[in-house]
Amino acid sequence: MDNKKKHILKLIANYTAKDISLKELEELEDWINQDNKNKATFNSYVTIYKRAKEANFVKQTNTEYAWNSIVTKLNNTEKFTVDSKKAKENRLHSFIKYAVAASIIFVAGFLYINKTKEVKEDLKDSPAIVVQEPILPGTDKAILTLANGTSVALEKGENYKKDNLNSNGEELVYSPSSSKEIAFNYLTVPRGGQFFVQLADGTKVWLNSDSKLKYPENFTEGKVREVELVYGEAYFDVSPSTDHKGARFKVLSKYQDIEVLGTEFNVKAYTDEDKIYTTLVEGKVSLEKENVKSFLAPGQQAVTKQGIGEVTVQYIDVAAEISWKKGLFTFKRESLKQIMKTLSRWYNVDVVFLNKDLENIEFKGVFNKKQTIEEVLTLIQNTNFINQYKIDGQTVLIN
Amino acid sequence: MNLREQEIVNRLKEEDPKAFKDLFDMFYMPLCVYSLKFSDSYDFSEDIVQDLFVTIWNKKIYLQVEGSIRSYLFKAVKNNTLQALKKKDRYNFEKLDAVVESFILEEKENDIEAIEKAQKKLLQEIEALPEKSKEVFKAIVLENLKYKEVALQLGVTVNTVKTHYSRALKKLRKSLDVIILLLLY
Repeated sequence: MDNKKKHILKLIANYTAKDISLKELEELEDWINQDNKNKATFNSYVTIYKRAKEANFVKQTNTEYAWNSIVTKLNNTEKFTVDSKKAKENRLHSFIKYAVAASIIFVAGFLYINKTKEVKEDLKDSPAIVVQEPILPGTDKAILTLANGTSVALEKGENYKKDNLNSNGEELVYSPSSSKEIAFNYLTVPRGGQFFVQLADGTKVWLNSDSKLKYPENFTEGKVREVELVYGEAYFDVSPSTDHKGARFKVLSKYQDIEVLGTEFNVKAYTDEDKIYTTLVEGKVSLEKENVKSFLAPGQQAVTKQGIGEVTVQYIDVAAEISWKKGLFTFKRESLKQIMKTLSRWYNVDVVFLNKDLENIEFKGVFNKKQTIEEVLTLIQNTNFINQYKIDGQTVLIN
Repeated sequence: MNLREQEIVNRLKEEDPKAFKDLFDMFYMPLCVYSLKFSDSYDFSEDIVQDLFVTIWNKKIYLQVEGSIRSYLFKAVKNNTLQALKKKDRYNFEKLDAVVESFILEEKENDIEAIEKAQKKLLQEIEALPEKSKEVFKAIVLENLKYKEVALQLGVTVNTVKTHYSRALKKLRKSLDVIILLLLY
């Protein structure tokens, strides 16, 4: 009898742990349906499980993050290349001002303390006055390198036109051309930048900070279309093969190739990270690494590592992974080290952890890429996990 | 409807952004906890509730709500949670989940003090579990880890993990007044 009880308890445990076989599940259902007492017993265990979860949730949840996420989502529904955002921004302006007011006051206070200290020290040592240049969020900018080696800086307000390419400084568009000559261009986005390019076949590519793309000025009809993500992160919206006489589209990166027919996906292949992350939004892609092919379904992410080793594929939160393209940072339980890496690319700063233990603390939250780095850091600081941060030139010190 | 809610709704109707923050402060946590009763994931439930707030502001839902905003919010969270769960590849426990759901009461105005007290007691009891049971319980319930993952982490067999976990459940059920937990909220 006691054994039976023990056995049922195990089944209930397996149910709450979501690790239960179909056979066990049927057995548990039968037992529950035997009488109301069993049902009540089952329910009391489930209650313990649920209440423990809730209590822990209430204890650990940071509503300030949640509020910031909501405000950020209100302000950002457009792609970062679309400027219809302006009207929207005005409507919400007062609202956002209110939302960040608390953090700004805090930053102001902090900087003030910092400044007075600095000034005092300066008076002691030298007559120079230290002025901290503000650290600005990134903007649309890139360097275009043409086949002949010439480089052109693309930046807001700078128009550039040549052959089949045209840029208003915020994006670069290649029109289809019948030229037989295959000439490769490079588009390099620096830290603190982002850029949009439409290739000659109509494929759209969003490039994140610190990224470099190699592609031909035009594609040969019916032949495989090949581009290379030399490093960094890019989001591809590939023009379908059916529009190009069946020509497939290939993205090469440091140690993997991706082949598609027409689809949307994101590739992250930074030089200072040892993994490549390929995330499929819709359609189908195949990924090849050392002659081994893997296929991705929408919502899945493949992680590849240099050298021998399997490609791991898992379902992830796609919206979070590609939110950079919509002007957001979305961190889902990421280590502070990883978060600071992402921020450092966008704000073009270096980050130093004075206390190494802090690198592994996990945070989650959504930030608007237009927020200043101080606002983002202050929100993180307000969780009390980090004691303080200091900005010294282009370096952020975290303690 | 309670006075404070009425006052927030009135200010919302005048498009006062501060009222929106007040609405958030008042309802965010209780709504997340309510959603958690149906779902099993913190991130999932927080997303549901955050999206609801975004919709309320963007679509000016507050202009349309008749009657109590509280019951509107809780109903919306329940519907959205169940709908999103259906879309999500949910493990197929439908019959048992229905049993569990039948015990979930419609949200009512709660005795917050009593709830906080019960939660504190529950967390204390978890801390008071024997070391291994505690570790296993926390990994499975609070971090959503699978038996296999916990086994790997602790360097023990899956069976040992299962045993520790059922023991923890049993111990907690003994030391807590489950009836209170059940009826409280």
